[in-house]
Amino acid sequence: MKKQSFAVMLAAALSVGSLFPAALTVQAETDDNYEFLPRVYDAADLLTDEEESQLLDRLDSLSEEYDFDVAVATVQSTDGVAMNKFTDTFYDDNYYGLGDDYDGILFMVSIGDREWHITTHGYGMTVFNQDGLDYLKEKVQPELKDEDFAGAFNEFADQCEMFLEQAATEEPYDASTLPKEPFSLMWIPISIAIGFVLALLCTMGMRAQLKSVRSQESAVDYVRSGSMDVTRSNDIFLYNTVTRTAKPKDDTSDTGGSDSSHGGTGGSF
Amino acid sequence: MSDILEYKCPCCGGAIEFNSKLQKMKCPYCDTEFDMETVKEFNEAAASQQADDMTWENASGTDWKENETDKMSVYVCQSCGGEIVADESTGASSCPFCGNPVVISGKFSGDLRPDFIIPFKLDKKAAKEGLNKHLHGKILLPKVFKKENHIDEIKGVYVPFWLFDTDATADIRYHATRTRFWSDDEYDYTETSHYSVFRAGNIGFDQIPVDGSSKIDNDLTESLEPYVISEAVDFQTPYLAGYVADKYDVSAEESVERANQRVRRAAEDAFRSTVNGYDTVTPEDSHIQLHGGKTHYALFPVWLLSTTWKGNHYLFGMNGQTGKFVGNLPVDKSIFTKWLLGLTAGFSVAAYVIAWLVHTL
Repeated sequence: MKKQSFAVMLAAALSVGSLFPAALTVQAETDDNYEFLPRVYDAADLLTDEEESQLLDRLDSLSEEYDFDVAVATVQSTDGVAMNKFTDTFYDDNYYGLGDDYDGILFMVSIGDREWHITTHGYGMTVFNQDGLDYLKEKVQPELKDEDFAGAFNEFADQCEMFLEQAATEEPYDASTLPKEPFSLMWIPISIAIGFVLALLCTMGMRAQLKSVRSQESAVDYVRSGSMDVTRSNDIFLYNTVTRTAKPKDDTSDTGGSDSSHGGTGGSF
Repeated sequence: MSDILEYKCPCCGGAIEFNSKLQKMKCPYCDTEFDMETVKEFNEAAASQQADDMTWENASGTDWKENETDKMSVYVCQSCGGEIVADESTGASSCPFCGNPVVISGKFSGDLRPDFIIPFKLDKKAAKEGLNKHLHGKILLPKVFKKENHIDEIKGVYVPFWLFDTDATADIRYHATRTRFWSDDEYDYTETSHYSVFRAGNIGFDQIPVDGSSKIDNDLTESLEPYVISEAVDFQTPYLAGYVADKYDVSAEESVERANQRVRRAAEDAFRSTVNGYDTVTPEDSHIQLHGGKTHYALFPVWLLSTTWKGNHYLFGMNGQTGKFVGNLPVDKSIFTKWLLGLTAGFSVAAYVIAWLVHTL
């Protein structure tokens, strides 16, 4: 992380620290009297110690290789602050990012709110354009839903490495160049099932052609013409029932950054 | 003031009570709530409905004139027991219902003389064409059904029918609903309003036919309807020449039940057409009284072909007046399986290719 003066660091710690006071004192590391958060900051304790140290080694070496901060953080709650704003502020106030433009990406999970957000800054906004963020979201969302946080963070690390490698070629991923999922073998049984259902509908139609005997339940063909008259007609309202069903909620709220200096994506799980 | 002491729930028919807390009528069985006036109006309307009365006068029919049946013989099928009548010049060799040989059992006697007959209008050639058309384009039909020598065995039969004429008074209650949808930011709403709709009135029926032969299923004869009954003429024995006639073995009294079912359904359908402005209308309760219900005995022309395939019996019929051809046909299981597998393969490949294209492009 970019080294900052202790006074600036302290000011940041005070401003954001009110949201998560324990984190700064327990998790912060000391480096030449300046306190920085490690690249794996697990205040919500979602990872085992072993998972945490492996992930930290991974992110540290990745960040150093590309001179680009790749970090993960978890908190218990955002205390009511919108997830994208909270993550962006957390990033800024804790001086994430390397280089003059604070280049980096931060993956934040708030376990109490069951929400997550990924924020990018500086060169990060070039590496992960909107197509890339959408792709990243699809990759981490299933594991979050399964509450496999270590899995989601490792997936995040893998994807970041892939994106950084591609961006180093001066052509960051976009929708046309992003790797596609291999065409799933599941399509074989699905196609057979679709084929069978369609074939069954067709052959049942052919079968129905063979049946022409149907009883006539009504004698309406034999009503003497003009013989019908209505002598009594009244309609009585009895009661009514109202049912309501909740509209499906969009779980892609809080995407994007809170201001123009951040990019990002997120959701709930 | 109404003299009804116990009110019925319009929803479930249980005894409904006044709920002092709600200041409304509430059914203790189905928990539906109603305004007092609604329950009163419903119960008064329901109480004025009259009970069913669906009786008919006995079949008219007439007795045979002297010597009229002299030249008519009765043939009995040794296999299915079917009894057919043919004049001496026509004769009969095989049973039109099951295809087995028939033997002469004696001179025709007894039974009622038909009031009316609709003479055959379509000949054997037309019947064979009708059958070929009926078999055409049926992919799953076993090939053996299209053999010409078999089609030749189609026979013209006068089938006995009871014809029912009546005037009816109907008093019917329908349950009707109207549905409305709307939404706000969080929810979709569905409101269903329920109504009891009463309709009463008069309706007349002329000559509802009910098959008087136990050898032909009612389903088959009803599928051959309608007949143009205005073309019926007074019965004369010469009309039978060249054809056979089936003797009725289901009496008019036994056929009444079917006629009543069809009258009730027709009244429910006819009066439902006067119930407008609802999304669903279902008959809940109908009371029918018949006035001057009369029964006639008539013979209607039917071309019949009987076929046995793999131990099952198939009977086809063509309306000898209008040419309408009906008869359920069997499914050739091996042809069915071939088509099912072939189409499954074709559609599966198509579905896979479409999925692959969508994924790749």
